[in-house]
Amino acid sequence: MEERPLARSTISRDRFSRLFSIGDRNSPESYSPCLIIGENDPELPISIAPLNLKLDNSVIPSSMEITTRSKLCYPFDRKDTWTASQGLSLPPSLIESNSGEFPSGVEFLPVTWSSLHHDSSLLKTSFQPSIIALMDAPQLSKNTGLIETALFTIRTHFPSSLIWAPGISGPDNCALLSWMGVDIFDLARSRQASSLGVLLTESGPRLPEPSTKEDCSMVSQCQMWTNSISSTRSAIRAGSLRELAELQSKSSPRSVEHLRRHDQLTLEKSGKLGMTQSSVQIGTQLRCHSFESRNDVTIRLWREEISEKYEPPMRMRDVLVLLPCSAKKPYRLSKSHSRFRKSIGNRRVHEIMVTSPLGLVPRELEDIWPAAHYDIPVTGDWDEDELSIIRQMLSRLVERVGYSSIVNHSGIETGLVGINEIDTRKGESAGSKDSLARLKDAVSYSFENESGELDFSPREEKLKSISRFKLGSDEWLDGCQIRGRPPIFTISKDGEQMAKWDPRRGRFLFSKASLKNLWSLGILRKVELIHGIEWTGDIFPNMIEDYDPSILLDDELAVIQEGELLGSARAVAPGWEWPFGPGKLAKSRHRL
Amino acid sequence: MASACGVLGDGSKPVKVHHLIKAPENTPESVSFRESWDASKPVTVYKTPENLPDGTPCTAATVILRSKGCAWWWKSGCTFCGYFNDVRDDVSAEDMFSQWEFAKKNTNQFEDCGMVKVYTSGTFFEDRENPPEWQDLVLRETAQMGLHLVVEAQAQMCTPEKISWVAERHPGCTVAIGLEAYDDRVLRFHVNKGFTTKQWHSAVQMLRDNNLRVKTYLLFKPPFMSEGDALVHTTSWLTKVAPYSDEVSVNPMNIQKNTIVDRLFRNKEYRPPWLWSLVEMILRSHEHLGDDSCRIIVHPTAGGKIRGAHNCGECDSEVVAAIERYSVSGDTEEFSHLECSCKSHWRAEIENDNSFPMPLGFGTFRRGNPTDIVRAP
Repeated sequence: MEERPLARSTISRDRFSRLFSIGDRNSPESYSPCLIIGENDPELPISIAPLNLKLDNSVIPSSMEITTRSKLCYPFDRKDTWTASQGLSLPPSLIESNSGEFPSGVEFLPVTWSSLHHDSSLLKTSFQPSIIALMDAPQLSKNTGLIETALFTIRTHFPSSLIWAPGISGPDNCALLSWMGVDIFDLARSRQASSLGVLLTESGPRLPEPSTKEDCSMVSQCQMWTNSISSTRSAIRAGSLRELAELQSKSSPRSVEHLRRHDQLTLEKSGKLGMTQSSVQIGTQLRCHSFESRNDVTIRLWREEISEKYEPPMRMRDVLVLLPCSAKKPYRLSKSHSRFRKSIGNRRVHEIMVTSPLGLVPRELEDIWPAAHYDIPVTGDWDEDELSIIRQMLSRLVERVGYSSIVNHSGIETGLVGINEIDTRKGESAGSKDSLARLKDAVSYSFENESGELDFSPREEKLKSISRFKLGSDEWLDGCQIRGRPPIFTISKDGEQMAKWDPRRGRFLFSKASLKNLWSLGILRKVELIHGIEWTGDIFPNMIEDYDPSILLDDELAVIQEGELLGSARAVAPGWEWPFGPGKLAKSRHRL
Repeated sequence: MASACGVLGDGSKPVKVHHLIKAPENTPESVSFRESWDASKPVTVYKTPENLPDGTPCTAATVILRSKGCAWWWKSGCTFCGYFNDVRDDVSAEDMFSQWEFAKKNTNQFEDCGMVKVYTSGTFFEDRENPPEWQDLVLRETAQMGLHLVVEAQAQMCTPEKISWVAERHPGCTVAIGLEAYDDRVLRFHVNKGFTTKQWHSAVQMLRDNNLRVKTYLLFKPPFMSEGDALVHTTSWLTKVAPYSDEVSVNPMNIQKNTIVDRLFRNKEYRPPWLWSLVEMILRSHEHLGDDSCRIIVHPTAGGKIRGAHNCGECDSEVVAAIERYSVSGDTEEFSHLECSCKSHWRAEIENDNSFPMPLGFGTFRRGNPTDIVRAP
């Protein structure tokens, strides 16, 4: 009987994790992340554990069967079984060789580090198995950098598949593995913990507490799993999985290593493959409460782009004013910044906020993701790492822009040499009367000997700067009129609305009229539809001929067919999920 | 071997496992080690308690000689075998005679011994490996001394002519063949053994036809295999080869220097077996075979050490001693008193290996603080 795929729909996504509903989408019986249970495992509710595994190792190579515990495959008329063979596996360290007998399966596909390197059949990515099991995960997790690479590779080549890394998951790393792209977990480590008298909890392994009558039975271990899977699913919905993953990683040095290496890998791949998002829902927060938060690709890309790519407004490249950040975001809404701006009183100065973990935030970019959304614990002291990041970013920016002077109201020593710098704090608080007076004087002094060009529109400069930073060009704004009450602006040309600037979402909302110009200027990332198909509804995998792999979640995309611009759509999945991602990849917006 | 590349491949053609096996032999460290020893003296000579073929307890002398090594190693080699460390291709016939004289002198002409095991890190009666005149001497001398002789051979080296030649010189002696696994896939892939089960059957028949005794070696937990799979398969192999053998010696894997298994061990991809697995294998196969068939011997080389079969560190010496006692007594009562908290840890590992797709095993550290053992990998 032909194997049928597991019915799965994306409910929510957070980087490499997805919350899938499993089964009939109208009344799903289960969800992933989830558990798969073996023959000797305790019974668990289907909502937590929708799959059963049976392994037959009486003959080499071993064979396996996964059976759905309910009717989870369309048309939902029976339970389904998928079979697979383990093949012969060589360990990761013998990667120069191969066994010649790779693991195999259809809807349930086992893979190994060796088969990922040598099995050419895996290159046919148009087929997305329902489940992929990385069988040598226990060995890969013990060797530097391997598990991260393997999971990243599987995740990005098989964006629709559910990934299982047998033997390495627990309630103590379920969120971390989910953040790295794993969807299915098992009870192997919990069984080991139970055998050793240890309770494997969400916060790591520990001895059961007798005073509260805890025990380490498999029933108790399963309760820990239920708690952990619930937390993970909830965090994916809330977009806060990173925080949970960071929290969990603290329970094991290996987990911290995995998170750091995963962060480094995603940063290295982010140039070609879209993984992050260009804007976020209102109310989203980026809580950077731990040291590990600084390594996330969102933070590191910001720092890299400000240092190497960001160009300040043309008329604000002379005097740089460094200001401290504020807890309130965007900063301009804080009382302290309102006082700073009053003291500065000059629209030609370029204001940059000094902060952590983003390093530097130019005033014009304070509304966009993640500058308007991050939150950090504030102690009033900088650590060496934070200072080093700020100094490096500042040094590079000052070198590139060529400011003539710096008014430093941030309170940190910049370490810059060869540039005129005025310290306006003199060891006092940023909001003190004297500091503010010195700030005012310093700004006035900096412009004393020249009148400067004052005939420019700060709002235009701001939008152009944002456009350069987010879209790579501001050309589309040439000749546009900008109206509206700050911070919301309407951008029109020849009386026709081209776009709106939505500061609460930190994004441009483009009108239909702007699309041709944006496309011809190469500003929009594209999705090309298959020749001959009719574009109705949203964009799905079976419609795609070509696409830009660097698509970010929430990007406005140009929809193209046979070289012609048909309209636009908004990406609901980042580039790594294209073109074979699960379900809808972009939501249609405009049709020309 | 496929030459195509997968999603992580860089386009390079995969090499055969054979190349990985041979590579360590030529490292400067290996060469220098081999050149450091004196070819006129054997590797070691020692005595152990043993049983004669009729079951009479005796003392056995074991002589391990420095030879030219195994003809199969010259071509390829087994994944676990580190005997190449003790062989050199310039060992002469004179050296072999000298080593044999040394062994006799060292044991005072095998005084008090009923048995002598002569091991050459290859096939005793293979003429390319050992000089025929030396073979002749050893076979005749041991027969004249009334010693029961045990020699080793690869199955494919057994020819009707040679076996009858051996039987003429030392009637009734024992020829031990390292079968390792009664599964052709395992022989080819996991062990790279160089012969098949069919060749082994043929060799056994030759030995039987010449009234020689058959000793079969099996390997517990070859590389690329989980603990759970090793327990299932070795138990099965043991029950299958026993009817063809006078003795079956199951050798739990120990990590020999510069082998493939050593490489895996250092990369945390392989752990030697649990001692509990050996006990379980003995109990399961003993129940299946009954008492009247062939003798089962298990000598856990480096037992209790991290590079040999081991448990938690607390119970190891007791379990090793029980296994050794069983090898002599054949009585499963030797295990009846054994108990340790690590047994449940072992059982969980077996259950994990047998429940989930982890062909290289779930195994983690067995020693130390339980909370740390469980910490996320």
